[in-house]
Amino acid sequence: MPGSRERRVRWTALAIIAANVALVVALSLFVRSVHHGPPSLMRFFVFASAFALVGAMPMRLDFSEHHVSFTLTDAVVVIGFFYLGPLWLALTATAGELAPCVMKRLPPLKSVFNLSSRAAGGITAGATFVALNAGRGLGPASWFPAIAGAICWGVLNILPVAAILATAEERRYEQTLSRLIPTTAATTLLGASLGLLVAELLRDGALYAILALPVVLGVWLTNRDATHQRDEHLRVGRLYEATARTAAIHSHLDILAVVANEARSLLTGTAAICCIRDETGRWTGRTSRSTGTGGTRSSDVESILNCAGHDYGNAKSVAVPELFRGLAPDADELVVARSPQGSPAELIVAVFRSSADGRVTASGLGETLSAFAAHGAVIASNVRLLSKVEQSLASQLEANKRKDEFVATVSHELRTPLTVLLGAAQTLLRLDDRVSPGERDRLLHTAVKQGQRLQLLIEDVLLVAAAEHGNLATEMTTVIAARFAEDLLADLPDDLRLRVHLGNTPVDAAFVSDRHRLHQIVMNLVGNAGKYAPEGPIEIVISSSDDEVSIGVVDHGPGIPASDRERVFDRFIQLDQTSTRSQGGTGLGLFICRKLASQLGAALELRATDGGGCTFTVTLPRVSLRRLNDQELAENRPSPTSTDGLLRRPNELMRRPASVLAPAASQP
Amino acid sequence: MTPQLSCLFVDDDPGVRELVALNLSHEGVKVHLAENGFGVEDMVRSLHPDVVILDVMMPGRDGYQVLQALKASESTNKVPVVLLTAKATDAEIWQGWQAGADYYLTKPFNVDQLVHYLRLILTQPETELTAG
Repeated sequence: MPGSRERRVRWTALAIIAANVALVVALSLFVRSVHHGPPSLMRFFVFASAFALVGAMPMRLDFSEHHVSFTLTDAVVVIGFFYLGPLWLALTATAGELAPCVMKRLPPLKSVFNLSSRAAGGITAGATFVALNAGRGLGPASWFPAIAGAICWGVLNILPVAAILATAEERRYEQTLSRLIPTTAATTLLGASLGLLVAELLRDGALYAILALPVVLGVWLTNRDATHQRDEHLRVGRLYEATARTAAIHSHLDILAVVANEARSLLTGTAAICCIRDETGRWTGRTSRSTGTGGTRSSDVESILNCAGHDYGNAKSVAVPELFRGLAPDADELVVARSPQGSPAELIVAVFRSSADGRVTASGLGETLSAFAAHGAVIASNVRLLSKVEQSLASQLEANKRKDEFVATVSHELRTPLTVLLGAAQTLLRLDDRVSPGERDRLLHTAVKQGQRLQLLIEDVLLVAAAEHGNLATEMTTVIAARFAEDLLADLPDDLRLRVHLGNTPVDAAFVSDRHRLHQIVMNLVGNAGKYAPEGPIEIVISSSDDEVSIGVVDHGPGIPASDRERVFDRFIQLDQTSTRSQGGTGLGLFICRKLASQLGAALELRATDGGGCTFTVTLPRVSLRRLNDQELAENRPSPTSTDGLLRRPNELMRRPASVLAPAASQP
Repeated sequence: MTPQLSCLFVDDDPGVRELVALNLSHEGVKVHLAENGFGVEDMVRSLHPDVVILDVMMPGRDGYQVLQALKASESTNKVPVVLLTAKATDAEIWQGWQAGADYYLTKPFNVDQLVHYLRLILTQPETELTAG
């Protein structure tokens, strides 16, 4: 639990503060006897500023891959031994520490922790020096006590830091401490000797101290340069590792989380957000924290976008927007990098961090982040491309499979009527005069009937092919609903016409559609009702609302269970196959109806009729009749029959089987 | 005097049933008809047909299921079975052989060919038995 870890760190810090305060109180009682008396105000300020100054010149030491930041405060402490008593040494050290605490706006707990450590270190070091040196002043005899005092200062500095680090990193205390000891020993010796050098020079007059300045500056500059190079080296190494880790293929959202995670650890931040812009221009993001990754709110993404601005290919450090206080409470710096212009994807990485760890702009971490943002953009676009390719491949395979199935089913469906048609003709030829007149008649009728079925199937398949390719020509005109219904009734085959009842049609209902195609749809629906509900009335109900006209075909047959109601619109779905084959259906009727309806901008739906049966409803957008002109009114008269090539007039397509199926009626 | 040969024809399409019945009865074969795959084994046991002609795609119980049931039973596995089906791709024909068909004819079929095959099957039962 990270929450409990934070709590443990806080309690450790509080305990150390308490111990420091106790130490300061106890030692101040002891050192009263060796009281130096207060220094002059001038001396107090010189030492306090010296502490603040060396505190602002951090240096680093690397020891077996551990990096320790240190300052030359040991030198100032050693000089202080000779000019300040333990109490005032502690006070000046604390005052010097106050400046960075205020300037860096450190959290109160951290400030108090640092201040109390300074006070305890100062007073302990001072007391040690006083006890060992016994007021002998400068000279070789004081060198050992001075170094011993400096060691006390160093020890009191690293013990609490090690405790905090061990708690935060959940390591063993000894392990953390042993890691810190060699570097602390080195810096303490360096600092103490420098301090002694300055103090000895100061004995001969304040100006001599200037001689020590090049040494201090030289040490500082060399260290800074080396630190910079090490940083550079480290940075490239970490970028390389992060790049390698992110190069594996992830899903689209995964890649954002991975990039955010890597960016967070690259910049040693407390949290990070990675945002990407998709093809529609919408930004999405993922958040990375030590506790794991998660989503982002749209306000988060917006805020990150604002921070990034249009600074392509560069990183910058901005103040943390108030919005993210919950996400990164300790952060006082937000480093944002936007992928360079011309990247295959637009990506923004933002890392929340504490500037107390060194500002990013100084250490080149900004460049690291912008390089990583550019890399993230490439990876994210690769992932995006890959998933697009996969999707399109899958949908093509699916479409191909459906087409194969369609072709297979069509070929099977075509074979059956063809078999009977050919078989009847062959039988007539081979049996010749051996068949009775009755058998001959039956065979001929069978052949015609199957030929008819074959024709219907071929028409339907061609229609499906045209509809699937979007090649269906439509001729949209304004249609008056009442007139349309009249045409419909007139075109019904005789046996169906007797069963169909037309409800009251609103006189002013009109819509824009392709009259012939719509006719085809409704005729098909009525035909279906006639087939599947062999008894009872079939109603055509036309109703209108302010913006819609609906044409319903209602039967009172067995109906279709709710679970199958959408399936009936699929290709070659015949819910009860035994009856359909005898009904001569092609299994494409409703599929075509829905295709046509959607082509016309209409909706075709199936509901259950109250009391059982099916209700198919075509819903069309309504138009106002008042806008109709004379020409459109003329078009709404019953139109003469015309054929338009392969895809013939729909009512003809429906009527033809009726006239052929009842040849006895047409032959007197 | 040879006893009259008989055939059981199973197909869900009435047109095909009528056609096969007409042609075979003119050849002097007694034709029994069934319009789906249910109860075919019982019909074979009671009618003792000399050959069974089976459609494959039938609602409820398809020809493969009927064929496997016929071949699995001692009392019916000696009767030669012809699959007569619209399934005409190589893969489908192979599937038919795998299912245990003795003969395989695809729709649309040539009536002369069907009659010729049946004549061969029905007049040479011994050859078939040894071959099977």
